[in-house]
Amino acid sequence: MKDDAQIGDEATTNSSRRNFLKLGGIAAATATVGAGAGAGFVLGRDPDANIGWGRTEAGKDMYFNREAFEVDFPPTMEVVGKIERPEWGDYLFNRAFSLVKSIKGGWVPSEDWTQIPDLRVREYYAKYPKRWEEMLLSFSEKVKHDNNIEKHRDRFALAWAYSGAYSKGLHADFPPEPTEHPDVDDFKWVQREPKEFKSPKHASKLIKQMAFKFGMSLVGITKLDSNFVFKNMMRGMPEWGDEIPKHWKNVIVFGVPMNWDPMYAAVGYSTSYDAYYRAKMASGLMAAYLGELGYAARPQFPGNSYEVIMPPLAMLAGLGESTRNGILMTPEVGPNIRLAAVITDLDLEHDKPIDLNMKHFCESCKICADACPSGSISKADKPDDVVRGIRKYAFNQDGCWRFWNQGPTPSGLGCRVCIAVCPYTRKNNWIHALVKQAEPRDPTGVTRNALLAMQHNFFYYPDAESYHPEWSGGNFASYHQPPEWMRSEEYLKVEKTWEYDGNWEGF
Amino acid sequence: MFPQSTLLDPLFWMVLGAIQVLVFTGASQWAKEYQLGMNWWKWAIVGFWWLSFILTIAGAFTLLGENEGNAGWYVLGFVGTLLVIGGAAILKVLVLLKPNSQ
Repeated sequence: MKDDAQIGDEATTNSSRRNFLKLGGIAAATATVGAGAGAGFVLGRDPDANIGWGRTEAGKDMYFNREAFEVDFPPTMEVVGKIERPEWGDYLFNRAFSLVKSIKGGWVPSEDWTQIPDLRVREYYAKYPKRWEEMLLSFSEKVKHDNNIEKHRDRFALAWAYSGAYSKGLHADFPPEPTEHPDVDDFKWVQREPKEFKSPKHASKLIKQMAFKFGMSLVGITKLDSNFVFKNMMRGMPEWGDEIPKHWKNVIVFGVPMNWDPMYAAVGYSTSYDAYYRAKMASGLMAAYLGELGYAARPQFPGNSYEVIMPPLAMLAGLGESTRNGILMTPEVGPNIRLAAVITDLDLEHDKPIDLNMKHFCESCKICADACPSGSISKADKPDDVVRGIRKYAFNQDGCWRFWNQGPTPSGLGCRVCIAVCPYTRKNNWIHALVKQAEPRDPTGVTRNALLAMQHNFFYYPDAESYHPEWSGGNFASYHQPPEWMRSEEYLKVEKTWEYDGNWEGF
Repeated sequence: MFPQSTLLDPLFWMVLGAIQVLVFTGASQWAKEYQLGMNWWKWAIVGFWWLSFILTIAGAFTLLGENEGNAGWYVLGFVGTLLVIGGAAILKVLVLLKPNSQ
């Protein structure tokens, strides 16, 4: 039996243990709160969340399981009439580059559009005469841009260097531009008879793995739909009609996001060239790889080396859906995706389109339309235009291009504000991945409405006008303030004479 | 907490997991002292509240980390306030349901 002293000792020990656990519990809870805050902050900062860098080779950048959302036809590709193939002139870069060539040849932009030397450009503006005014304005904006950017170089010096470096890479001669008929050119890397695959399924599996190894974040495969092949255009062939080469059977569509931090700091600090460069190189590598195995391959890559329209093909390949701003929206990276493709005669298993309810998301959101510095995006409640037989939101390409010419760096033209502000454009960290998984699975729309209520009320968005350059009345605002490695004053001997307008880290 | 560190990151998450044992053991002692008569569903509610609280803090600071300053503070203030009120309500219910109060 225990005596009184022993019982007393045990009571004291138990009391002391209880006190230790009580105080230890409080200390541990406090530490957990601190650790939660610290880990959250670091995960927000984590460059591993910039998907497209790090997990690409394993294919885990493409983390969204599309199988549950597969459909036979993309819901945002609503056909309301006869689908018409696009004309060469429907692609803005074709028009813009042709106009530049005409100017160099002596044509004066202030002349009437009916005097444009290129018939294909004239045909476009004959169809849409009101759009000429915007295109004409883009020339005067470019002149203002050229007269003013040097004054702001101190501020944008690192952005100049960043976009300039990628511009050099982008204009390298790989993959080489076609110079012959596609029946010859697409086979230029084929050295011997094709090696037969066990099945189209095996071929697709391997091709997708290779796309990831070549640096792509997302990949899908579809049959080449001739509705989305440009008419009157074939690189290497000055004269071309409506013909589609017989060996153009399937399309491997892939892409990467632009690097997040500069992209968020659009307009001035961002460039599309980083993703263009990666996508272009990957298309070349994929074409060469297919050639080695004995198959035809025709790379399609940015800026004006496309013979097909990419977003609808990407939708058919199950990569995402169409949006209010006309850009493909993917579940992983939203509209922050730059696409390339390879057309091939290899038999492949096709992916199916997906329905992620993005249609309803865009109907409710409108953040991109409100933020658009040129007012080129429709604010209608429902898609309000029909383009070549497909219902979509109205989008003013020429107005968008007018604003492109106001970017404050020589090679960093473009805008990208609609991409930066889209609630679907968010890094691959736990909090955004969680909501991206939850929203499409909620048939009630409660999650979507709650998220959009937070998005509209909690997040800071600069006014649309403030994205303009200072010489046009703006303050070079960006959705996020530029990252530290884009701030000239941090690294260069420059005097900081400006204030940043955009989202901040909160401290 | 140490995303690019081969050693520190896994160690951090293991330690954080381990101290949760201390959190709940301590909570158990407090519950005994106040004679709350905890059972499985009461612990489930408390556990869910704790998880929500920590995730809200982590979520708000994730937003702060990715330069969404306004959103981070608003989420912390708005959702955090709701959770504090919810926590007080849960505590009140636990006190009302004490076995010796019936």
